[in-house]
Amino acid sequence: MVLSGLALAAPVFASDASSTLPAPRPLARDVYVFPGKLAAPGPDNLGRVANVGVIIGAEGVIVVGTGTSDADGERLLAAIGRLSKRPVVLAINTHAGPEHVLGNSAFARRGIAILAHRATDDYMAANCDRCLRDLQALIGEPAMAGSYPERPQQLIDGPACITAGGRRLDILHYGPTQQPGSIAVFDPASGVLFAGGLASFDVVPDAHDADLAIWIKALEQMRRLPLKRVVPGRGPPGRPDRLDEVGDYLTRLAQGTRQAYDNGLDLAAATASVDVSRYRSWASYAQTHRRNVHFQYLRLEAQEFATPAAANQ
Amino acid sequence: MNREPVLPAGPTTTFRSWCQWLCALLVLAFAAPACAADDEIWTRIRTGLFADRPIAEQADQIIQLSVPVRAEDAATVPIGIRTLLRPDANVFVEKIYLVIDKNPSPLGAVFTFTPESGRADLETRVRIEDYTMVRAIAELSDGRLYMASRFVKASGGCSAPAGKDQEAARARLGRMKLRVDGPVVYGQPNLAQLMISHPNNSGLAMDQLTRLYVPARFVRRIDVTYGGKRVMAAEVDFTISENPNFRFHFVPRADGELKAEVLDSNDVRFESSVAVREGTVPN
Repeated sequence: MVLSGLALAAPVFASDASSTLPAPRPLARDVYVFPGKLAAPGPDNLGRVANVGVIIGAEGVIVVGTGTSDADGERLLAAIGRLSKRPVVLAINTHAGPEHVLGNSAFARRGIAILAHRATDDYMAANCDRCLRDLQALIGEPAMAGSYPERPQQLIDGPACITAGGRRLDILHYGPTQQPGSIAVFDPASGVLFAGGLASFDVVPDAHDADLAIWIKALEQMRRLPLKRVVPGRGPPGRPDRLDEVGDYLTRLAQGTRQAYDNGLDLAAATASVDVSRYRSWASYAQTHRRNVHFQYLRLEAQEFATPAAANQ
Repeated sequence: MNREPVLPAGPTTTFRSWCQWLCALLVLAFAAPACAADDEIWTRIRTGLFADRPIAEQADQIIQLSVPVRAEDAATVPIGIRTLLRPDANVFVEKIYLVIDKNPSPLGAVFTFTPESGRADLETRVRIEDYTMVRAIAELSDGRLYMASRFVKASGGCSAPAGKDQEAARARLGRMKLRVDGPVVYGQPNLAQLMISHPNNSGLAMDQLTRLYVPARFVRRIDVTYGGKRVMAAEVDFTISENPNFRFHFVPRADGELKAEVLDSNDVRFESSVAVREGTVPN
């Protein structure tokens, strides 16, 4: 009896909680962000934890990120329609984070092209069935109804200059960084950088599939661009120098894990002991930082086998 | 001390015995109703392994198990097993059984120790398929059994997609590293680490690009000796994570060679050894 009551109540609740998106924040003329919540994905925020960027060109609109679910993608498109009468001509998947790409299906339904790095498409093919299930478990089936990992079709293999909707954009790729196919989108007209997975502010970045050394270098290179404002994949938009905090965290993560590894600590001890206390106030520190150490430790271990000479046969 | 070696010597015999217990467990697993209570799974495993022999469960003074309550990654869950028998006890820990109730192959490993081990401690990483009890059961040389257990929240570890670069993994397959946490002290337990480059494919992971299952191939037997005497042996399966990694102890009494022999499920054999001298850091 109780169960059937819940089942009836659930859709009403879901539509109440989700009918409104956070209001878009203007960042520059014709550039907006729909800010994500600075929290772990959960039923209260419907997994809407990632920033979605909107760039309005002379002839059409470019969207960076597609939301958390099919329904979320639909709501985004409706809200973008209220911002501009121009058609949405392109969506960009900066990386394969479930909260960034699972709204793809809503864009594809309208025939909107979706651009990503080829490695991101591969990553989605290998992992997104799983991350869809994970997100369903976190925020509930009703919110994820009809969602599936629609794959991007416009694939790039490296950095690219594109023109979409009459706007010229720089697609930045520095090699494998946060993920193998992580890209950032720079809008030279406004000086706004949408950093995607390459940066998160006030929240520990997810480095579980990262190449830390290349990522740190990429952050330094992005700092040399004429940036006015940076929109991280997660967390509030900020000044360009906030990229240095991300680089500093990653450097400390790499050094701390290296030290623990070289001192002979086992995996569990390393995970518990590599502490980057100055970033304790960042969201998800307790979970994501430990996980970052765990995977970095395993990468150091795997490097021991990179050459035959390393092993004592 | 004069007990027969626990593991049969030949690979064929070993493989047969390995198959026998795997098959026995699979039969048990399929025989169990889908909704079997958690305790029921363990009861069936326990009966298969130990019949009605008593197992002491409040055994912190003999065996301790450490695992994270919530795993960072279900495919690489670190586990530590510590035993606390006094060295002057006239018994030693001869075997440790590692059981993960809800895994497709619940008996993931059987470790064998000898007095040459010095301490029957072990650290490795395992795959965990579903929220489960993890159990380490110590069998003493006089036959007594002690168990430590912990509940772990992790899922999908056995069927997690195989490593990104299977081709590179194949090229490195079988490379090993054996090192001692020096400087070496004679007459005492010294910590050693064995690292094996091996994808340890479970056969349960689908390649999402090809939609094909990556065939099972995993390390199944490890034998570590010092100066020709066994210090640690293990019968394992795909429960052990990719790139199997073991930390254990051995007691060197004179200069010698620490040697690891590894056999995988394709009957391919790998070897690694390191020379041990007092006061040095063998690497």
